[in-house]
Amino acid sequence: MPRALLPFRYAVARVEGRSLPTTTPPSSARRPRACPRVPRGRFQGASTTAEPWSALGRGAIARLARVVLSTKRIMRLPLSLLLPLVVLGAASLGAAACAGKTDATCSGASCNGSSDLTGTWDLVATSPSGAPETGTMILAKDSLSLDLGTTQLTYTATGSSLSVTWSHDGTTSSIATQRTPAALDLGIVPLDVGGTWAFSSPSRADACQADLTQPSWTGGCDVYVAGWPSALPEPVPGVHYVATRTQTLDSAFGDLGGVWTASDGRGGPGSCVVTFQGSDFSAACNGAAGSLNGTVQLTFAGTTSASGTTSHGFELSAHRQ
Amino acid sequence: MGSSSPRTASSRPRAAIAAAAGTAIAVALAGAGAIGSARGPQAPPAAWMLEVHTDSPARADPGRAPRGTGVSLALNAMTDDQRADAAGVLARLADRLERERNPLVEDLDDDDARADAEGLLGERLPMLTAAAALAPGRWTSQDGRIVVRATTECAEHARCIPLGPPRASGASPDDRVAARARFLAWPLAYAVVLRAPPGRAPDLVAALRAPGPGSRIALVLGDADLHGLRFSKALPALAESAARLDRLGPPDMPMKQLFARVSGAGSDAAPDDLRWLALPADAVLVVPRLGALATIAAFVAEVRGRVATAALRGPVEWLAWRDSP
Repeated sequence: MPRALLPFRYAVARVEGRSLPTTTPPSSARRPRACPRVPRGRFQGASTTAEPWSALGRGAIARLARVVLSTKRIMRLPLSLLLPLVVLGAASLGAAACAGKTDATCSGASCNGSSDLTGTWDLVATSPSGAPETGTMILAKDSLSLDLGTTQLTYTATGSSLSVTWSHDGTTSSIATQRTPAALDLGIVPLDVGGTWAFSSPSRADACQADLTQPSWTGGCDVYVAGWPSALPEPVPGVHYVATRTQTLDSAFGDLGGVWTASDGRGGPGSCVVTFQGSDFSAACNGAAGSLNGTVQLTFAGTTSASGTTSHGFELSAHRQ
Repeated sequence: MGSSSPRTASSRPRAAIAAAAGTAIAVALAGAGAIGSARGPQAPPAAWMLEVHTDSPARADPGRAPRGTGVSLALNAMTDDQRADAAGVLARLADRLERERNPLVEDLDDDDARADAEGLLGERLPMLTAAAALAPGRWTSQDGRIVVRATTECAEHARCIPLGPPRASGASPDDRVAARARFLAWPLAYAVVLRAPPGRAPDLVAALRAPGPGSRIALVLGDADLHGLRFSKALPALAESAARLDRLGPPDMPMKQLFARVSGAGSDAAPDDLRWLALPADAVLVVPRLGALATIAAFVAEVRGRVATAALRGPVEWLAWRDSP
């Protein structure tokens, strides 16, 4: 969501022919590697918004801008929130829609007899170029495949063997992944992501971690990640974000149901409030650097469709085939 | 973007304004011709249908519409004040870019220009998205295997899904192919088509375009907005601002193609983004936001509410809509 604001900053910086002020580590530290967070679970709930935003000052905004200046990835920024929301949310969405509903509200094609969101989904998402992007997501208990425009993400778990691959604009990165499983009920979301995760580049030079266990979720990366997927919110190096559930609400998203507060875990300015209630997801960030504030909402209808918007005009809809 | 946004006229070369105005008038005349030719004996909206081909060969590239497609529709859906506001915002951003290119000018870091531009983008992006998605009249799944086309004459061996009132499609709720086709063709399949009392379409359009918090309406097009480009006195200024951004911005600047297309609105032949669509006189097409498809009933309810509060001196006919995703 916040990065939807970057295009014009980007344009300005490009015209200036200079780098924006940044606290980014020197280029030697920016190894070409990708270290996506938890394949998708990271976005679920508060973790998604336990993002760098709260720690972002002006310099951090510039850093984010710089990250995208070097490539055309800026074109994908608008999806930075909605995309993971669908990945996670879609996982949660079907359940949300069906759970607790009567046959009158969840019957026939609206639920397709499914108890969760497992299946293949068509996606349509806003693109800054104007014409929307189309894509496909395949969701199951042990795998996730996302293909939208020039971005692809695959996650597969076969026994204890985990495989995560991120591809963007023709560049493919394999991410070494380790997981220590723990129980986590995501309701209708079929993907099993509970536990602690560690991701690293093949050289092990970069590392990101996530702890998706109750009562709080944490996550972050040790250093700046040069190949960070632009479609995902990007963490500030060294900051481990914390999301804590402050209220429990009925939700189809299992343990996510309720209100979560996310911050950078070290008292930085700004915070995000994330709510999972019924079949709806919403997030609102305030108090961080001005342009990074905003809202996101995603609504699921049955187990066959979902739509979401951001306060910056970016939209996404998904439909299960 | 609020109407209080001042227009920036100081940087506009007079010659360019005159040229843009002249060509825009020509465009407007051409557009009027297109509008005229689009009228006459037309099929009622209910006769429109989705022609679905499910056996198309898989393609790696689903064939997205060219960037900038639908710009004329979006421009037509903007009032003159909105066009003027947009022109002012884009002009200030262009001023900002221009200053930063000049090494002799101190960078005052005019964040207001950026913020205004970002606000404009956020406000207009749903409209641009809907317009760009609607314009081609043909939609393809990502793998290319399903192709959906809007038509009034369905091919013999194709699957046909009529558009109209919810029960007109004849498709079972369990018909996944129909549901998927509608999703791909969302700007048309989920649109509401209304017919205003004779001569009252502009009032209906105005009521539907009125800003509202959390509105699920992306695009409202009267029959006069469907073809060509509607001229207004703010159009040349908007085209000029867009041309400056197109000129000043880096090649891969987001929205650059859009700016190029808008700037072209003042100099090229009137683009007709909806050659394939004709509606009866007094018809109004209301396209939902992409982000509202899962709550389409709320979109229809919003349209219904706006229609009810519009003073139209006559009944509004509902020709097509959907009330479930």
